[in-house]
Amino acid sequence: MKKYLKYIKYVALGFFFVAINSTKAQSVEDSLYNSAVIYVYDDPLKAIEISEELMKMNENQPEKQIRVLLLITNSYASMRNYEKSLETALKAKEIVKKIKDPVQEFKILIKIAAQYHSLGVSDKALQILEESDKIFEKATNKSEMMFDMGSNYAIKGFIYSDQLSCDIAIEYFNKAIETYAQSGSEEERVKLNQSVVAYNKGNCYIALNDLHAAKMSYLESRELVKGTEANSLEAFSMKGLAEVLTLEGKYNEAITKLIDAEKIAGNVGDLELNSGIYRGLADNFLALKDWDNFQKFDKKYNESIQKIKISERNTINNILNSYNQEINQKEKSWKLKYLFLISVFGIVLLLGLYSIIKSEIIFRKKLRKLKSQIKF
Amino acid sequence: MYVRKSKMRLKNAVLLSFYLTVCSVYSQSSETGRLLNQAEAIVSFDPIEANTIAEHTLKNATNNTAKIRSLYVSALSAYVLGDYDKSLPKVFEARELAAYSNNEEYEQKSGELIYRIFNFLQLNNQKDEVYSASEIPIFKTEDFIRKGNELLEKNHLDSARYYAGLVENENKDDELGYRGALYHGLMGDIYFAQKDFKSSLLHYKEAIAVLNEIRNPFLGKQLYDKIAANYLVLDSLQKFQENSETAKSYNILLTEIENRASNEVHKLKIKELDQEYKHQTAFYRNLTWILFGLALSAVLIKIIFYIRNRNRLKMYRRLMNYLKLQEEQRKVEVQEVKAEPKVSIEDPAVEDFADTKTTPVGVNPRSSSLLKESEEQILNSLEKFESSGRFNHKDMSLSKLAAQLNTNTKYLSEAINRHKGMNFNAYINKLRIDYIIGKMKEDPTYLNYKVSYLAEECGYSSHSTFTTVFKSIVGVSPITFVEFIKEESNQEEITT
Repeated sequence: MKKYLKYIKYVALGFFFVAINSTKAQSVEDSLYNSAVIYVYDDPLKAIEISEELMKMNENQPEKQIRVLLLITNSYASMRNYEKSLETALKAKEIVKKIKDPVQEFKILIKIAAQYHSLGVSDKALQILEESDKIFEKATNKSEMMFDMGSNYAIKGFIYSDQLSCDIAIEYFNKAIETYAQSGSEEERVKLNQSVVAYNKGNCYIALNDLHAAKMSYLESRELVKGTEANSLEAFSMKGLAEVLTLEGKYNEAITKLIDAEKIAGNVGDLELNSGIYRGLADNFLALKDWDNFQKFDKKYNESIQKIKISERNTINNILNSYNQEINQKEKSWKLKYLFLISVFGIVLLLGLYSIIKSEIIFRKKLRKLKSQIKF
Repeated sequence: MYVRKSKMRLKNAVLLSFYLTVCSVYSQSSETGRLLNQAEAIVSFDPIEANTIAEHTLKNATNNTAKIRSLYVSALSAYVLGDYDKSLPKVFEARELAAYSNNEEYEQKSGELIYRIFNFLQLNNQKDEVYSASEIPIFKTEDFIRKGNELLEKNHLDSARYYAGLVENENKDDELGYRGALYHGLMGDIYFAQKDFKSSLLHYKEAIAVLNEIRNPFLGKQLYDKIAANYLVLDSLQKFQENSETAKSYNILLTEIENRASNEVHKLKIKELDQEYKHQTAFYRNLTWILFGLALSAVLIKIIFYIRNRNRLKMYRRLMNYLKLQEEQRKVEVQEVKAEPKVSIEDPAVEDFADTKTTPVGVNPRSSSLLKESEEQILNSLEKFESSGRFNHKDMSLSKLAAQLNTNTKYLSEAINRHKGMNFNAYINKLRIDYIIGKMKEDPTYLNYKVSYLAEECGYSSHSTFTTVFKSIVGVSPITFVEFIKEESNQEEITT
């Protein structure tokens, strides 16, 4: 379950990301930036390369630099080079100080906190969120900051629910939903984020065994995205509802919900979502003592878990493979260079030895001849 | 069946602390070996203790074998605890050290552990080693369990039970530990498939007991999920929910471990690849440098030999010239004695001495201020002087000789210049060197004398002056000359 939770947080972070992208019109820089974004997971080294170019292009524009630095942070994270990733995030934080605009500074701090959290460094994330809280308190134009303040609460909620402190987490989730509503931002954006938070709230209620509240949260989550294109979010909330039904002993209803969710999820092709649905189906068929179906979905569940693992290791496997190839290539060119030098020196050595021996033989002959001429 | 033997564990603990004290006092390698054997034996049921021992032996390790084994046991303990992220750096170090010190056994063992962790994490192992039929008890059990599970999936319950039985036999004397948990897990699965949920639960709970000692989150997640499934089918929703939540909390832990372990793999693999690369290039670089050095020395030797050989040939040519000259001179003298002793000598040596350091004057064409008679007189006296050996006197000088021959220095000098073709000093030097060479020819004992003695013998106060003069006249230094003659006489002895 926690895994889906993790996934859904990334969905949320993804929205934050898109939000920065869409604010500026396309330019050369932007297209470079967008191409780097595409490379983040497939070829992080390439993404970093492009980002570094962008860093040079934007030397005196701290806002743009931060945007790029966050991209580098993401790339390093996808390469599993967490040290570098955090180092870059810290650099971004340094640059934030240069910006005199508190609204911008606030937004960036939230992004850095989200980054820290996705890297699993919760205490750092909390520390940065506290810093952003101070800026928010002092700010005069709070209305511009409302949306990001909502994200601030959401991240705090994620962190506490990770640490199994669901009571605290739920408080933050509620605040997040409320604050998003007050932000006056684009309606769809607000609703998507609220839905993500509501789903996580539902998970927390399940952990606290408050089935009614959980059901209400999942329903809320579903209502918020109904009619939008966020299919996966709808499927997630339906899966959550099915979970409540299972715990209430309404296995058949749960199965109907899960099959509906599977239909919606089928279009998305999301491994985490699928695995959650299979697991739910297996559980409910088991409860109904429908062995054939239980085994069928249990098998599907296990397969999907395996697939998730493989896909999670894909980046690292790719990195290691390409590094291996790179090294092999380097080794080959080195070898050629050295083999050339080795053969040159080898030939010189052989020629040298041959000429030493030959001239020594000639010398001895001459000497013998000379000596034979000398009579004493 | 497994019985928890807490008494035996207490005994083990006492024994261990005793061993540890003994080890810290004597730190003998045999003690280290025994401790590590002990650690390896308990790694399945008390990995924390095994790790403590391994860390202790690692600290006190005096040789590589102890270090490698300590690292390996420590890594194996972490593996049993599910701490793959902590296991990996140790086992990589163990393998590197084992490869470095040609410890094939532990290189293979470490390789197997790495292979298993990589497999578990779904990571490609570039080396593509396949380890089948492991000798390590823990892995042996894991393999049986895996086979049992595969058979269970195909509903071959009896065959699955057979493998469970194999595990039970293997572990008969073992305490309930990691291997025991695996066994009970499989038994639980088998009973679950048989729909005997009560027995299934019993086995799972037996396995869960291990988690108090070995908090392996991977094991925990699996077992709690299965227990939850059992309660679900037994219509105990409350317990289903509780156990599902516990499984979830283990899942958070294992996700973190998997991520950290992948991070470790990334770091270690990159490091390993870099090192391999460095190693490879170092080999070629060293080979290149060695060949460069050899080629350079060959060229240098060639140059040295060339110069040396040329000089030696030159030297022998000079020696040959000198000896030839002497030979001819002797013949002329013999003829002179036979025919007309008073005829002045047309010196044939003038040309040949051109390359010596003497300053030949040549036959003076000027009309002589000397009268023919007195000139002849001087020449006669000089001949006597030449055969007398008086030239060997240390204080020999032009004025002294003039006084001895009852003439003046001017006449004497002119006569020598004209008839001997050289100045007085060169004349004396030549006489002295001819004399000493004559001695060396006649009396082989001279060949054994020191240069300083030879110098004194022919009137030189310092052997360096003698050497210089000798070289300028003969063409070779006195030492080389002596060696040459010795060599010659040796060869003659051999040939005759």
